[in-house]
Amino acid sequence: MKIRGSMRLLSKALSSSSSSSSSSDYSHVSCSARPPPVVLSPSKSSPSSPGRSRRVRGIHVFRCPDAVGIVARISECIASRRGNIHHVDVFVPEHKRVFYSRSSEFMFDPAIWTREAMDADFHEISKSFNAERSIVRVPDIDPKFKIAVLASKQDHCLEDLLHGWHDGWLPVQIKSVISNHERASKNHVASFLERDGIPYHCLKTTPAHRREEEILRLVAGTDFLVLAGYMQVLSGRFLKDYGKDVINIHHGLLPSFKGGDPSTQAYDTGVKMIGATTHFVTEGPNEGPIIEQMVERVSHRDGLGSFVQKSKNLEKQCLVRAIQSYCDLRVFREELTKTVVF
Amino acid sequence: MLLLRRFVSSSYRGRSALEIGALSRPCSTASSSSSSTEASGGTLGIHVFRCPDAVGIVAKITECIALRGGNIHGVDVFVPEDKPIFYSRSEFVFDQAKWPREAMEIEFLKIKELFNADQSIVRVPDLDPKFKIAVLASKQDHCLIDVLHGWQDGRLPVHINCVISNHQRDPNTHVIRFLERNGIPYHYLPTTPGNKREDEILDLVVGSDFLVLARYMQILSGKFLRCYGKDIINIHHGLLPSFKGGNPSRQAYDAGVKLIGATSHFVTEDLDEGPIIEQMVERVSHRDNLRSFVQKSENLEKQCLAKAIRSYCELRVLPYEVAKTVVF
Repeated sequence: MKIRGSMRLLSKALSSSSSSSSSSDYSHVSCSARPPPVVLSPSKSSPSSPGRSRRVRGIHVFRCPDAVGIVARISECIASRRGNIHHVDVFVPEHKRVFYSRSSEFMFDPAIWTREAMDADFHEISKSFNAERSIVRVPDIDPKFKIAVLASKQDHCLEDLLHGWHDGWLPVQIKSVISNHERASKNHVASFLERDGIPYHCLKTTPAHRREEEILRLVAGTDFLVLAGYMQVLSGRFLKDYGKDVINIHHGLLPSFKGGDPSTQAYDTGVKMIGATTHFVTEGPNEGPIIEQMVERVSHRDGLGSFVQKSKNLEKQCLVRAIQSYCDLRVFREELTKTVVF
Repeated sequence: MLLLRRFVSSSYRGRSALEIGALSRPCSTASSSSSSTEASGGTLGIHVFRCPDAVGIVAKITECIALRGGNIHGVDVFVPEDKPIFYSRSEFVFDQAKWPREAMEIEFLKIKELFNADQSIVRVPDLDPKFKIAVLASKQDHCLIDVLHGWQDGRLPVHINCVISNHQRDPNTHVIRFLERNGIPYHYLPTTPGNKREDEILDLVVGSDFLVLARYMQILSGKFLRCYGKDIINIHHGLLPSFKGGNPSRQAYDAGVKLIGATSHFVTEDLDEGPIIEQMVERVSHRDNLRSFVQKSENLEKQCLAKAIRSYCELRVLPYEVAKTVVF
């Protein structure tokens, strides 16, 4: 089975990017001109999968101007290739004629429906509906998303991410960890990274010097960035130059308690609920489209210590959930400030 | 009749919680509403207490109750980590023959003096007069209607003195017909930026124990709060401190949040800033449009306000530091 070339993720991180572009986004390396094989009965064996036919999971996400017949066309395409659809999510907003789908979770035999054929088939559909976004992904075949993780002094989100990756919960490849805070080699994070061969780059920042050029170089080749408690604000220029999605975890229930030390802010305000928010990074701090939010109850019995502890717990879960959703192609940007999360 | 401390954002005023009414009123169960404790052969009593922390407070309170044959069903005690302040709330069942109401007052008063408490309240829901409230509302009906229904169903153990609104309601509306049927006066006081009619409101709410702002969209001045002197509970249709001010559903919808909420809180001079009593949330997603944001929000507001009023009447809400509450 041919392994595909690098998988490029398409949604832009910029808030100024228009969603009305008519050019279709498509995420594959151009396929060969070989016509797709048509198979009328399941093959018993093929050179690449001896014995029982192999079933793998595919995900297709689609956004285009709304029209009649889109779901029919997509599902017919999958069925004609003996793909078995396990799940479909469709969403058309009330006031806008935009069609979103995630179909998705279809099981197919790569011997019957090769990866290149799949790309070509979906490309046809994308063209006929003038889609702005059409991505197909086969998690078992396509390369994992490559990410870089940025962190500052706080360890908990970074550590949780590393463990999640290690345990297989996060289907990513961590290219590097970049921090503006030094970590001693005996530090748990540092020794973890060393053991797993993930480079750690310490780039100390000052208000005047954010080291963004160096960061850009270090994150070249990544599919998206994760800010796991990175306390520096990334400039609009950085976001434009990087050009891809950046996911941040904010330790508060946006839009409450923007800025620093939201736990103390929440504690002083006497709220009965605290939360965490993951969102896409845009130029305004803590203002990008929200991906996921989680809350927990607090009461008079919670001191500042337990506010912080509950908050950290929420941040870890919220960040992991957002990354999983993103890698699973569940997250679409909708309008400028919102997301569709299937 | 019981009076709880009014929240003032910058001051901390201790106040004796005992009012005259209860002491002079003879013990009688005739006017009580149905209570499940009657059926079990006892009367429910609630005691809340706040004083400087010391050894022996719980022992003293529980001993006092036990000596009179009272059976404690629930005790909540709270002492903050960093401050030597003691809070407790005890629920007990007692026999009125063995422990008359006046005696109960006197005995708890002694404990109050012993520990130099700044808050000591005892309440016997079946004997003591219900809390008298006035409800203020503007155009939005849903919270007002829910409070009225809650009162009618017995879920809110209050007596509604009157409803005051800066919005006129047609005699044929559900609210007006309900109020007429139940003999509750409705006062229409239209306001302008120049005239908030606060003096007239103060006249109308005389004799109430606390006020409920059920989506009353006017800001009450510091002067009003001082003159009224008692607690005012407001429902804010948003998860404070997010989305203060008007139309928080719209603000939330535009902000693309995944969770919306409602907050009930005590009113202070600063808009939407008083100590929070209760908060509730519900998930929203891309599938929610502005209408369902509003609908979910209204649903939350009703529940949140009702819960806050009930907690308050059950003496579960105590002031904590300047801007917070203990809610047992």
